[in-house]
Amino acid sequence: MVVGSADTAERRGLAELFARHAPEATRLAYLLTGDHALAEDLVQDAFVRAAGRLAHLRSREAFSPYLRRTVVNLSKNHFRHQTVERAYLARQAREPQIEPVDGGAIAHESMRRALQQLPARQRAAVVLRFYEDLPESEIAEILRCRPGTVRSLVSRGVAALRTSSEVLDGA
Amino acid sequence: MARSDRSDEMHDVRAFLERMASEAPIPSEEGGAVVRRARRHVGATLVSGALAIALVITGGVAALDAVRAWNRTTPLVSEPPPTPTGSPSIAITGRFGEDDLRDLVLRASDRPTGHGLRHDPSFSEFNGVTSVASTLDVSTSALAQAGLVTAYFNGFLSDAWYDTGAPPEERVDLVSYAILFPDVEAAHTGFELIAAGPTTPVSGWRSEPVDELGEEAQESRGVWNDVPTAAIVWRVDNVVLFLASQGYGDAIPFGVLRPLAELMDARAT
Repeated sequence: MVVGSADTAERRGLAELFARHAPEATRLAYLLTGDHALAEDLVQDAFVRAAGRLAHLRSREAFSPYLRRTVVNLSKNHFRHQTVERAYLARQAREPQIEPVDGGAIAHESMRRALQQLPARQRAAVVLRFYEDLPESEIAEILRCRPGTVRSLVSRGVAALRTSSEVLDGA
Repeated sequence: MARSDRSDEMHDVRAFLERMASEAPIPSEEGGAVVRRARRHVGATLVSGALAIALVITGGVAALDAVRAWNRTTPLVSEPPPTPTGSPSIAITGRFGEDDLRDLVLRASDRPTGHGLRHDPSFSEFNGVTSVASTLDVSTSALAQAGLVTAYFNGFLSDAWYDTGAPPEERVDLVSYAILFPDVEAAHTGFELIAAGPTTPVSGWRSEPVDELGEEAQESRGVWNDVPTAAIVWRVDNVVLFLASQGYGDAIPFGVLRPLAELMDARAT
């Protein structure tokens, strides 16, 4: 039974799976990291891991949520060590600023920077709530916390986004 | 804040995230290299990850034989007597070296009791970073960056694994690892990575620090890949020790795991 499942997960099946799920996973990873190369790396790692568990999933439909969770977990791990995160933020701060051409672009750039400055868990909670539209219970399962904690993370994340983007706008 | 303001704010956040997501890179259509990696991983995970749920589904001895046969034909597992897989060019400045690892893991002669566990020589080997990362479900690149040199593990299975008529709930395994890093600092990083828990989904995962083992230690319990799991990880100098159990009814309780961990710890300290 498992051997049969593994057989069907041959190259072609995996290629189709990658083609179907990688774009959405990459968008999520990019929102969580703000970095093109890192997002692609995370999705590749996540896909390999999720594919390794393919035979253990109850159905093919479970693959997408599984991949999403793995992307979130890997991105959290990436930022787990504060030193890494501080170095990353310092590097971001040193990067040349994009010259915005209009008010909308300024606001977008401010929000983008503010999002990347949120702690990893807050950032994940905000992205999963407002981009993935996941219910609090599902986010809680992904972030391994209680639904009440998710509410708090989202609320603090949005407040920090608002404050940071206002400060950045005013700078 | 008024309701309409809050609603506008949520709308702004959604609109911003949608726009930012549209700036994400577009992966290549077939992801050739990733698919090749994934394909290899599918095979490796089926046999070397946490002793394979496949055994439960396909049932006992036949599957176990298939796993052993696969192990004999793949470079992931070496024939006994196993040999270290680490690179001789890595300078090890910590107390322990590759030759110590086999003495640090739980041994067959330790006879872990309580669940009819027996040592299976098929699951006794040196592992490189990829196998360790796959089995412990930790980021391979992070573990490699931490400097993992090599690891040795012994696996134990309950009698129910060999008995096709036994209820699946009686199937319990126990895995003992000694993971070598070049120095204390690298081992500390490795400890933190493993203590952070699996990267793939878990539910009800709870971790607590443990005072009595090594220089830093943590025990964790939860459900990983739908299987109840209990794990203890700790560090002694430049080695990270790991003892974990999975069971389809339940994992081995900490009351049994702890004395076994203390036995390993006593040898290391």
